[in-house]
Amino acid sequence: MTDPGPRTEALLAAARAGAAWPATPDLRADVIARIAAGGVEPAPLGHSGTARRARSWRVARSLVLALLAVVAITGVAGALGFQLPGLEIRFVEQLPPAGSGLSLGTAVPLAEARAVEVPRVLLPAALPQPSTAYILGTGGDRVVTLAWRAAAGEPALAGSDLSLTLMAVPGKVEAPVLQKILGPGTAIEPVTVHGDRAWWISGTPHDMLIARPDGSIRVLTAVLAGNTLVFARDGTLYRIESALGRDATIAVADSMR
Amino acid sequence: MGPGPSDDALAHEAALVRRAQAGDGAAYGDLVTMHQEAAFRVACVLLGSAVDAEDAAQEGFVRAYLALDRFRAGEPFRPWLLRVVGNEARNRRRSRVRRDGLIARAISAFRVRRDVASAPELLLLAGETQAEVRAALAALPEGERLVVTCRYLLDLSEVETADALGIPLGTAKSRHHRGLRRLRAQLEPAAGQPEVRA
Repeated sequence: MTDPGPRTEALLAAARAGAAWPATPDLRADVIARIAAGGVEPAPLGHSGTARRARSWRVARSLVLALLAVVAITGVAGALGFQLPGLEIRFVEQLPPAGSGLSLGTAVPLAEARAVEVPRVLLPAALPQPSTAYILGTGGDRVVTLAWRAAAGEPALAGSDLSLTLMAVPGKVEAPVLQKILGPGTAIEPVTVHGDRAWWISGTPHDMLIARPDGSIRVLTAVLAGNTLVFARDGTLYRIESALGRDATIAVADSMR
Repeated sequence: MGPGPSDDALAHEAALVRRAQAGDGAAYGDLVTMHQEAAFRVACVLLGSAVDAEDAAQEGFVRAYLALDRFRAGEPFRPWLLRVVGNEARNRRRSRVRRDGLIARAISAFRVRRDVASAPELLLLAGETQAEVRAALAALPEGERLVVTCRYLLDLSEVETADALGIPLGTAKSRHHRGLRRLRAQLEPAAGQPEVRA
């Protein structure tokens, strides 16, 4: 047994005595009512082994039948060259890159995308590793994009398999410039990311104007039609297009390192 | 940590379990009353919400009743019950994460990492007098913090802690050992420095 030390033990005892636990609800009546309503009883003593064996046999039998069904279907599919009426079965080595077909550039390993100095892309600590990284263009026109594939049941950006893209572009963004190209039906809301000014743009699909490092203006064309968070840091403009909603997207941006 | 239950209490509990196994609902109700506080608090620590914890504890009690035939007579009831309730709470937590998916990861996972002080077990320690323990616990890795919480704030035994958290007993012991060592390093007067007395 580890000795916590006299002071540690005293402090932990005081913490236990003073812990503000929520009041314990009285569960007895509800539990009894549910048991009574369900008409359930624990299995009779002495029969549990038999009952379990019977349940195991039923489960095993179901699995065998399911396996036979799969074998039969596979056999039919094989005979038809994996073509069933209304259904084509294809085996692929792996899924295509998340966001492929969206003109985001050339899919590259994440390390290569992160090695780009300008623009420098940051990883959001709040998210898992991106599904795919892309590089588009060269020099001052280079765009680095990270894409996260939407999991089953998660919201996706319209017309894609993605829940979020993070685009890094050399440049900065200023409200007067930003708003010039936003049409009716598009709302722009000032927010903060890491204490710095950012904008949440929602509504209809939009391109946007951004200021390049050399002072010229560039049109940043929307690839998707999702709501967008825009902010700049250290000479890089970040554009997060997201199906996650405003607050979650800001949390993602706040976590970028 | 307090002493364990007396022999009389264990014998009484064993009698209640036997009656409940025979279908005596009132006896099972008595078991619920005896253990609902520990069950609810374990679920609170795992789920962080009193409402969710109440649902999980209630479901855990119902599941435990349905599984009473698998409970081995002569064993202490509470560790077994806390394993069932802990499983239920962890399943609910996993379902919640799956349901919320990326959104939950984006909002809660990051914010919890950024602000460990919002961990449910630490919110129990309110006020300035608890601030030192709260800060020391917040500095522990989550696995160690949960074990120390179960052992010292919930007053669970090592076996009950392992069962409630769904981890092997050896893991619970090693996390307990490491967690206490870290706490001691923060809360005890610095080793080698004589304690100053007035």
